[in-house]
Amino acid sequence: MSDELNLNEVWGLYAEEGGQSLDDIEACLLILQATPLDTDVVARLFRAMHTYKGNARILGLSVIESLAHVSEDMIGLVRDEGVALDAGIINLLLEATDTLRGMLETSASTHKDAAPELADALLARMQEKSAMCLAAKAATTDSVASDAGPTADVTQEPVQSMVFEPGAAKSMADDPLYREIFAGIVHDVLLELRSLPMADTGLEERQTAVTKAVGRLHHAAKQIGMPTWLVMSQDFLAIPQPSPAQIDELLAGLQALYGQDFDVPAAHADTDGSTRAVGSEDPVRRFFDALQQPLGRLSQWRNPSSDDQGMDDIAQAAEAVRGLAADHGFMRVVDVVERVIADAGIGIEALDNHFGRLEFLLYEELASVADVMLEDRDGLAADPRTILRSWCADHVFESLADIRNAMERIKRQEAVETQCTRMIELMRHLYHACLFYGMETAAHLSMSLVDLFARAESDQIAPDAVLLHITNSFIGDMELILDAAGLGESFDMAQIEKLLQEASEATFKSSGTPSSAQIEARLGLPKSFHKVLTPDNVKETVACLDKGNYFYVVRSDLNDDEDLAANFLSWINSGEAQVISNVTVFQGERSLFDFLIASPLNEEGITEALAALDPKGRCLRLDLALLDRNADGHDNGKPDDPVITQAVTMQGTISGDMLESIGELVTVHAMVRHLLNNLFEADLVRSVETELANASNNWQAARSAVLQTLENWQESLDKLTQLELHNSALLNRLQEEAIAVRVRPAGLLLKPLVPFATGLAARHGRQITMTTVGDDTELDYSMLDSLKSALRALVTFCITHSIETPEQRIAAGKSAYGQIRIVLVKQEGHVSITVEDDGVGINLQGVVQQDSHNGRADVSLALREGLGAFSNNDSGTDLTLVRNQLRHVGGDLRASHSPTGGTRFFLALPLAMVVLEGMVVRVGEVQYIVPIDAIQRIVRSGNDELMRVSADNGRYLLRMAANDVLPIHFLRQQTAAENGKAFDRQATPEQEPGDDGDPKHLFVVIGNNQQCTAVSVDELIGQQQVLVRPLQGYLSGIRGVTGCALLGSGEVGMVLDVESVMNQQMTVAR
Amino acid sequence: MTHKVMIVDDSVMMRSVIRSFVDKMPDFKIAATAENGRKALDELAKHDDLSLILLDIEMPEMNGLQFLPYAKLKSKAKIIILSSVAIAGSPYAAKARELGADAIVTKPSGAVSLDLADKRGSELTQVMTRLVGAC
Repeated sequence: MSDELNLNEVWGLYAEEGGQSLDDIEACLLILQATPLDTDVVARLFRAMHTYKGNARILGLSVIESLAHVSEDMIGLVRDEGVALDAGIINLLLEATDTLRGMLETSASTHKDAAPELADALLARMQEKSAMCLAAKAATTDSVASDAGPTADVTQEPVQSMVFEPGAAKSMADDPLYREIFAGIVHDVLLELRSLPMADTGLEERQTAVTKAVGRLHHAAKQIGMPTWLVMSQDFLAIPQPSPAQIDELLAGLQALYGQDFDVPAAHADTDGSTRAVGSEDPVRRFFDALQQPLGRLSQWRNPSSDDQGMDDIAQAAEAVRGLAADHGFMRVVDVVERVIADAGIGIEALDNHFGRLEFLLYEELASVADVMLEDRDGLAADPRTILRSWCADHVFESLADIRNAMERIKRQEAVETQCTRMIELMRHLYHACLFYGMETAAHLSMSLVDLFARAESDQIAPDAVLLHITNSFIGDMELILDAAGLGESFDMAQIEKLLQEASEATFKSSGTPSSAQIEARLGLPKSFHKVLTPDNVKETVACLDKGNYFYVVRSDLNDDEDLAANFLSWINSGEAQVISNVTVFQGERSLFDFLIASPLNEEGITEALAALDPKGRCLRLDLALLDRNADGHDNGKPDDPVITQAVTMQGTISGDMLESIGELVTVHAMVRHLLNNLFEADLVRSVETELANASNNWQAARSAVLQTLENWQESLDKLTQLELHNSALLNRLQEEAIAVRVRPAGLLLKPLVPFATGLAARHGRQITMTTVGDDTELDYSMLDSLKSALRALVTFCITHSIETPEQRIAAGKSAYGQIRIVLVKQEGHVSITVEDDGVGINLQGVVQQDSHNGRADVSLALREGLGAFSNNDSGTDLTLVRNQLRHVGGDLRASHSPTGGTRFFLALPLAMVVLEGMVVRVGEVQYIVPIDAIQRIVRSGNDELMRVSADNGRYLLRMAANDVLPIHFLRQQTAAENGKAFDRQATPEQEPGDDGDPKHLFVVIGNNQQCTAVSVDELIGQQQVLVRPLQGYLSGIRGVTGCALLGSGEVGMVLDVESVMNQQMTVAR
Repeated sequence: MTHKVMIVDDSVMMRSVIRSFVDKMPDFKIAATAENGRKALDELAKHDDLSLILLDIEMPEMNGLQFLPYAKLKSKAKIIILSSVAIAGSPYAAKARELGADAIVTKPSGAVSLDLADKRGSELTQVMTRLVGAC
C-alpha cells in the first residue's frame, strides 16, 4: 500500500508545508516581540507549531515531533494557562524554530529523523523554562485564590479557551435561513430601541437597555458572520456611557443598514408601533415558543394523569414538532421525532420501550439547536437546555441504577456492546443532571467516561477493569451527593466540587494507570518511541507487565518478502508476542519498522522465534531487550514524582520492603542451587570408596578421611537447612507484606453507608439512626466492592420494607427513629456481617417452616415466597441478585427475625487472601489444612476408645476419658459427598496397626474449651504456613472448607472450615 | 453504495495522507476537503449528501469544536474527530463528545505506514464502516 500512498509526494508536502509553518511561526514571534498580548497572534503561532508537529508525527519523526511538541506546549502555556509571554519564551521559541528549520531541511532530503542530540540541550532548557513559568503561575493563582477567599474558582479549562472568533462563521451569512434569523434579531432590536423612553431622566436605564440589545446583536453578527454589523455594534459597545445623540445615531445607522442588507420594504424598516405586529419575532425564538405546546403533550406520556392520552395524540404532538423542525431545516430533530411517530404507529408497546430514550435524544438535539442559534434565552417559553437538564435530574436515580445494572452485565460479559452503548447514553444523562445541580467537575468526569466507554464500544472490546472500577467509584459518590441534592439539602457546592476533583484525581491515580512517560521511563524505551504510546498502548503495556512479560524492540524490513511479512504478522498475533506499538524508520528509500513487542519468551526464546521466522536474519533483528526498571529495583529516573511513585506503587503493589525480600529470596535461591550442585557433583559413595582405597589397610586414617568427607557433606546439608529456614522466613514476610498492601479498613465501606441510609430514609419518609461496629477491621480491598453493593441493598431493604414511618413507630410505642445496626466481624476465613433493624421485620410465615427449629430461613426460599415481591421495586433492591452474587464468590446471605421483631440479615463472605498457619493432613488422596489455632490436640487411639452409638445410625464417638466423649467428623465422608458418592456411615475410622498390632486411629481434635470434635485423618503431613485463597464459581459450593492453598509440595490443599464442622456436629447431636 | 466523505484538516500533508487512506476503501469516496471549519461550512452547503466528516480540532479561523455544532445543524453526516489532541478521556475528547461527535480517533504516529499492523489505521477503517452502517 505504500505505493498507493506516494511517499515522495508526502515528503514533498512535508517540506513545503513545514517551511510555510516555520515562516509563519517566525513572523508571529516577531510580531509578539512588539505586542506580546496579541492573543490572535498567539493562537496563530500555536496552530502553526501544531501543524508542524502533526506532520512530523505522521511521518514518525519522533525527535522533530518532540521539539515541536515542547514548543507547542510552551505556547499553550501562554494561550491557555495565562502565562506571560516574556522575552525568554520568545527567544527559546526562535531558537527552536531555527533548529526545526535545520531539521526540516535534513529530514526532507534524507527521509530520516533528526539526531536526538541536536535537540537535547534545547529541549532541557525549554522544559526548565516551562516548569518555571508554571510554578510562577501557580504561586500567583494561589495568592489570588487566597485573596478571593475559599470559594474562588481556580479550575482551569483549556478547552474553554476555544471561544468563537470574530468572523468565524462568515459564510453562514450567505445561507438564507441564517440571514432570515439575523434579520429577525435586527428587527427585534430596532423595535426595542424605538420603544425606549426618550426623556433624559431615563438615560441610565436607556443606556443599559441599549447596551444589552446591541450586545445581543453583536453576538448574532459574530455568530452568523455579518462584518458590517459586527463593526457597528462593536464600536457602539466600546463607548462607556453613550449619550442620547450617540444612541440616536446608532439607531439611524442600524435602520439604514437593515434596509440595505435585507432589502426590507419601508413599512418593515420603519419600526414604529404600527408595524410591530408584522413578523416581528426572531424565527428561532418563534420556533421554540411554538414547541411549548407539543413538547408539553409529549412529556405527559406515561404520566398517570394522562391514561386516556391516545396514540393519535402522541403522534399528532410529534408531528407538530416534526413540522416545525422541518420548516427550519433542523434535520436531526426531524429524525428523532420521526422515530417517535413510527413507534406510535406500531403501538403502545413500541412507544413504551423507546420513548424515554427518544425523549432524551429530542431534548439533546433541541438544546444543540438553541446553543447554536440563540444567545439570549430569557423569556423563552420552552428552553430546551433547561428542559433537558431538568429531565435528566428527574430521572437521575433511574439512570444511576441502570448504570450499575449495565456495569454488572458488562462484568458478566453479557451483551457487552449493547451495554456499552447504554452506558454512553446513561452517562450523558448523568452529565446533564450534574449540570442541573451545578456540578461542573462531575459533569466533566461523566463526559470523560462517555468518551472512554465510546472508545471501548468503537474498538468492540469490553471496557477494562480499571474503567469499570473508576466508574463504580464515581457512581457511588454521585449517588450520595445526588441523594442529598434530591432531598433539597443545602450544601457547599464549591466544597463538593473540590472533593469531586480530588476524588477523581485520586481515583485515576489509584487506578494505577500510568502515563506514557512513566511507561517510557519504566521500560527505558529508546527515544524513537518518545510520545508514541497512546493510552491504549499504555494499558496494553501495563497488562503485559502484570503478566510478567518481557519487552523487546524488533527491527524489521518487510518490504520485499510478502511471505515473511505475513508470517511475522501472524506471529505477532499468535499470543507468543504482542505488538504494543511501532515506529517507522527510514533508510534511504526503504521504510523499516521498529516494533515494541511484549512476550512471555525470554531473550533466548525471542531470538529463536525470530530465527525461525527469518533463518538468514536479514529482515528481522532483535534490536533491544528492555528491562522493567521497577521489577529490578532500578531508579525510574524520576524518584521525586509523587504521581509516578503512587501510580507505580499501586499498580505493582510492590513496596520497597517487598522488593528487598524478593532480592533476598533470589540470593538465597542462588546459594541453594550452588550447594545442591556441589552435593550433586560430589558423589558421596565414590568419595568414601576412594578414601578407603587410598587408606589401604590403615583403618585409622581411612576412618578419619571418611569422617571428614561425611562432615563436609553434613556441613553442606546444615547450610541447606539454614537457607531453607531463612527462605521460609522470607516467604512468610513476603506473604504478609503482599497481604498488607491490599488491606483497607472496613470503615471505608461502612462509613459512607450512614449518609446513604439517612438520605434514603428521608426520601421514604423514615427517620433512622445507624450504628456500625467493626470499622477498624482490616479487609482485602477486593472485598470492598463485593460488600458495598450487598450492604446497600440490605440497608435499602430495611428502610423500605421493615422500618415504619415515625408516626407508626410512635403509635407502636417505639422511638420515632428506627435503628439499623451493622456489625462486621472477621472470623476464621470469613467476614461475617449482621444487618438488623428494629422495624416490623419480614413476613417469613410459611417460609421459616422449612427450617423452623433454628428460626433461620433460607433466603432464596424467603425471596421467592416472601421477599420476591419486593425485588426490583422503586428502591432498586434485588436481594436475589445480591444473594447470587455473594454465592458466586463463596459467600451467603440469610434472613431471620431480629430479637426486637425487626429484620436480621446475616451475610458471610470468605476472606479474599489470608495467611494461615496450618497442619496439613491427608485423608485418602485429599490433603486438608487444619488451622493450628483450632487444634486442641492430636490423638492416636485404638479400637477400645471408639464407641458406636447404635441409636444414631451407628455413629462413632471417641472416648477421651471416663466422662469425656467427642463426636467424630469424617472428612472422607465429606470428600465422598462432594464427589457424589454414597458414604457408608457404618465404616470405621481410618486405621493403621500400632506397635502392638492393635489398629491405631488418628484424630485431630479441633474446637475450643466448650466444645470439641475429633476429625479422623489418615496421616499428619506437617505444619505449614499457607496463603489461603477463596473458592470461586462452582467450587464455592463445596461445604466445610473455606478455601484452598498451594502447599509446599506443589499440591493443592483444602482449608478446613472449623466453624462449619463444629456446627455440623452440633446439628447432628441435636 | 458509496459513502461521501469530507476531510477537514488544516495540514495539506495530513489531508493527502487521509485521502490516500480513504481512497483505498472501496465504499468511500472523498467528496470535499476543507482547511478549516469555516470553509467546511461552505462545502457543507454544496454537499448535502455527505455520510462522514473526518474532522481535525486545531485549525485556524474556525476550529473543529466550533464547527461541530454547526455541522450537526446543517448535515446528517456522522462526524469523526481525527486529532492528535483528543486522547482518551481528555478535556478535548470530552468536549467533542459533549458537542455530539460520533467517534474519536487519535491521529497515529507514523501513519504513513498505514499498511502494516497500524492499529489506528484499522481503527479508522472500522469506525468509518461502523458509522455508515448506522446511518
